[in-house]
Amino acid sequence: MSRIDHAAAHERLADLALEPGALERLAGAVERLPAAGNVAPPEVAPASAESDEASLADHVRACARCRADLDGWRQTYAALATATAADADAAGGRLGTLAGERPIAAPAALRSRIKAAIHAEATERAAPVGRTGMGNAATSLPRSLDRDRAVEPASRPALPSRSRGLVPGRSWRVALPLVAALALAVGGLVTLRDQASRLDTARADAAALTSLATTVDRVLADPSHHVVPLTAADGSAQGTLAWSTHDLVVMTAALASPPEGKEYRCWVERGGVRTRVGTMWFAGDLAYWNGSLDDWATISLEGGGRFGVSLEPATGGGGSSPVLLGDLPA
Amino acid sequence: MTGRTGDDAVAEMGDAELVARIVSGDEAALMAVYDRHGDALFGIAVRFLADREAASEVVQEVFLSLWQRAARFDPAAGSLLAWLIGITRHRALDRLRAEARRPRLAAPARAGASATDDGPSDEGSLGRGATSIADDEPDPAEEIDRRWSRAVVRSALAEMPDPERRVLLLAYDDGLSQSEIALRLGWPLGTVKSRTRRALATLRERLVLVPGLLEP
Repeated sequence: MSRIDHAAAHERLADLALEPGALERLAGAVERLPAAGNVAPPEVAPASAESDEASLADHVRACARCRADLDGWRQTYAALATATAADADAAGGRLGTLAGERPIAAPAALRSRIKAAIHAEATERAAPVGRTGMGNAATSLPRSLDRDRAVEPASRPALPSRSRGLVPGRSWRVALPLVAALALAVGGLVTLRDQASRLDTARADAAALTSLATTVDRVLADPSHHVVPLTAADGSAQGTLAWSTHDLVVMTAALASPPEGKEYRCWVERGGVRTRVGTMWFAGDLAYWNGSLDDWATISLEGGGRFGVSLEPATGGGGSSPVLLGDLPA
Repeated sequence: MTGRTGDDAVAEMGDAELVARIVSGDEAALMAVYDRHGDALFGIAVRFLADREAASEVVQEVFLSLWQRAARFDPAAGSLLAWLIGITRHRALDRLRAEARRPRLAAPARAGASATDDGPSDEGSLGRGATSIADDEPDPAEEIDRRWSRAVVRSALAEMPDPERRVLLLAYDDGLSQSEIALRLGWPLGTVKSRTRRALATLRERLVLVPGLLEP
């Protein structure tokens, strides 16, 4: 039997990974070999497929790295078999049925969300002992907010300065409720400053709001953005829906937290049919939903119809009267 | 003088070095890991959960876990991507279990339902395909395994360079040997071998779970 070195064994194992049954045969051969200390001296024999397999088994038996390698390939092959197993969706044993999709990119907003959350966490880690409550959450605001806070009262955190400069004049006026709601929410968090028991909630809310501020900033900076006021049943403007090419933001400070078992659901209604598009989240006094409109999404906010928010059972069902409603552009 | 910035330097670091910097509290290193692997993790999560927002939340939780527990990463046990995929699986399964505990019984799961084909769920959080571990499933663990494997394989195939995907499909689906693939495609045998190995390595890195994953 000819000997095989580690590099050759490593390559050979990869080559076997797609041969049906080959890895199991090899594993069986390895198992049948005597213990490593009792391996007979290698014989010199003419090369053949059989002797190749025997020498590979011999090497794997004695080489911990190759045994782990073999295990990894066996797991890979088993997972491929699982993935292509025939069922109602009929993958039918062929990988080709799982191919043909395009890569899916993470939403652009996710990066800033993660960055804000990490920054909040890092700030908390670095905070001096004895610091409590929203003092930490407030310091987790992004740099643009910090800059504004330096020239404004601490009790009135400002919005990212970039959004002020980039909002076109026409849109700035209609976007005011959106911006005001965000400022109110951040201000509300600051009032929690001394309530240490709510630190975790406040920290999460602060991270969510900083992420939201980033999204609002991005939406309003997009020249093609739209802003639609959302009105309550009495006709008063109580919230804002804004969207750009990629992002959608709904915000209101008019909603109380939903009772147990209920949620505020966002929907688009066309031709009398409501399509659920999202659920409102809460951060401090602000209720919001931040969605994506990139090319993966099927939501369309143009083409008429109405955008609404209603209080619905969290377990499903719907059709309740809207608490907020806005007309979508045709 | 070149315009190379500190961020460029971080972006060029190896995964192990980035993890070491994350352990010391370097936020830029964590974002560099996100830039490198975030799309892959999101692609798997969204295919598994069939819900874009839920997938975003899972990926955010994964990176928070990395931030808080990076010191537990063991390069000897597997690559960083494999480790992060394992955490993604944990978090995504947590989501499904939480959803299954809700009283609502949604439509039967469409295992392997394509997120790209179907678009985002219109059922709110964890929509189509998200209830496959409800009590009435005959073998939830098997179903979850299949759905996870499909999500990972579909994601890997989507991200794989076309030549690597072609040799993989010819070998797996048509049972062709590497020599036969070389003849069929007119490529040198060595090229076929290297592309097959790269394709397999991609699948293996994503499919084989790293032992000793951190607990939530």
